[in-house]
Amino acid sequence: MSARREDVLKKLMPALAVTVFYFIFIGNGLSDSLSAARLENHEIVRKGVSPAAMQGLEQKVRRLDTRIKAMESRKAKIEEALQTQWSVLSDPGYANRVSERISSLLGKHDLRIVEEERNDKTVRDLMGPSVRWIHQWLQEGGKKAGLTVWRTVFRGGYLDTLRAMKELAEGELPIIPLALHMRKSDRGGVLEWTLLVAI
Amino acid sequence: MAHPGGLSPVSDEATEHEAWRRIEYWPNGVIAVQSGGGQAMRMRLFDVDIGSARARDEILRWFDVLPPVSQSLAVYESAPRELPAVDEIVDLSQPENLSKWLGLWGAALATVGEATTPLIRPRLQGIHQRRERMQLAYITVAAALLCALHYGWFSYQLAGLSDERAMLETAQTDMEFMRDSEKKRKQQFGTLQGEEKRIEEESNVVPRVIDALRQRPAALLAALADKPPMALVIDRIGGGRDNILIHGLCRSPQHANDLAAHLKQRLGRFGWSVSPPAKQGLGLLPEGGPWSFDLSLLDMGLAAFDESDSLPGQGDAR
Repeated sequence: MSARREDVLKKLMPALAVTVFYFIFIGNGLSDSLSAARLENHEIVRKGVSPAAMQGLEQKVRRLDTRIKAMESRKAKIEEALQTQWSVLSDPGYANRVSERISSLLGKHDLRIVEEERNDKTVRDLMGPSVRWIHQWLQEGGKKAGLTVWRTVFRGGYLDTLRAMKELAEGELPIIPLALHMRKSDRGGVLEWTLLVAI
Repeated sequence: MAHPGGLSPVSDEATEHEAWRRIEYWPNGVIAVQSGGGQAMRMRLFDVDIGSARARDEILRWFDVLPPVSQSLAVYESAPRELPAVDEIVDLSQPENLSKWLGLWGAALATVGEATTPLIRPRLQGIHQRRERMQLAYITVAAALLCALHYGWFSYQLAGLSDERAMLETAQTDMEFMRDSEKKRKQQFGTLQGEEKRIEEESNVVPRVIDALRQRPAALLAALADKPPMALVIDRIGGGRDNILIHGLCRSPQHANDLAAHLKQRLGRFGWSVSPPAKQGLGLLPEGGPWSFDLSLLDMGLAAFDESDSLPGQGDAR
């Protein structure tokens, strides 16, 4: 019986040797590689990576693109409307129209013009913070408009000047007064006024 | 030890005058013996698997070339699958048959040298060894095949995981790109939203601010003209880029303060802040007056308009 067992063992020995050799030198390494590969894939999936999620992301990006285009379109329309609204400032004949308007207004209220000039070089120096902001706003966003300064020195009474200033504020031309100075004229009690306007 | 096969005639009927043959099936080989009838004893070992058809065919072919016999016998312990036709069978698994055979064998051993019984060396062991070697090879190959199968299955799974990894990495790259795109677009959208809101607000505010700025000189002159009755004279209106400076004379310093309060009430909506008047007594009157004063209206910028409850843009100050 023991001889038979010995025979069986002898027959199984090479097979066992092959199997042990395989599992020690090849099978284990293969198994480890498989486990490592599974773990790596699992780690990637755990981060939320999934081919199925791509479609949702693409849809979100497309929706954002659509909203961005719609918003850009709305913005362009607003800017175009603003440019149209303030295009009068870019009109080459605008300064002349302002000059005519001021002259006629002062004349209408018995105010005598002494001096009148355009003062481009000191435009920012003469503007207060409110007008400076308007000046900057007009220059940005495609409105392509800006302000220049018009200086008028005239003489006349207080109430006449008050009436002229009220009428100036109501005119259609967007004339923005920067300053109105008053002093007594060197010639007696007549008041001399200096009006700076941004046009 | 000698092999118990290939003995001389074991049957009582076998004589030197009658030809006989015997086929012995041993666990490790087949022995065929023919003798008698005036012939010399012939014996052959068959190096084949004892139960196979090939063994039977080879045995029959060998007997074909020998003279015919009058008696044939088959001996075995376990019946082979393929057995040629014989006259008699001796089953050694039967104790009486085995005892008889071993007795004959013992007698043959005792008479060895008389050339009546061949002494058969265990040549048949070669067949057995070869079969064992074959079995060993089969088991080893089977084990190797199992290992190969294991290797193939694991390699297949590894290749599948590698493909899955490549797919996941591609998806990861694509998702990172899409998320980056989404983030950039959200930022772009937020920026555009902010710009649109700002432009809309400014488009509403700017015309009203401009309208208020246009009313400033008239509002100032009107406010100075309809001041409450007080002994006060406005002598000069001047100023710089950011302010309006009002210079005048008054009987009492309180008059200058009253004027400042009055202007603050009337002109606050136009983005002006009225500073407390600076006063200086001229000392021409017993109480120290008249008083010279300077009052400043400071342009507070756009924020002052934003803080106003209502911009004076609809002509309410005219």
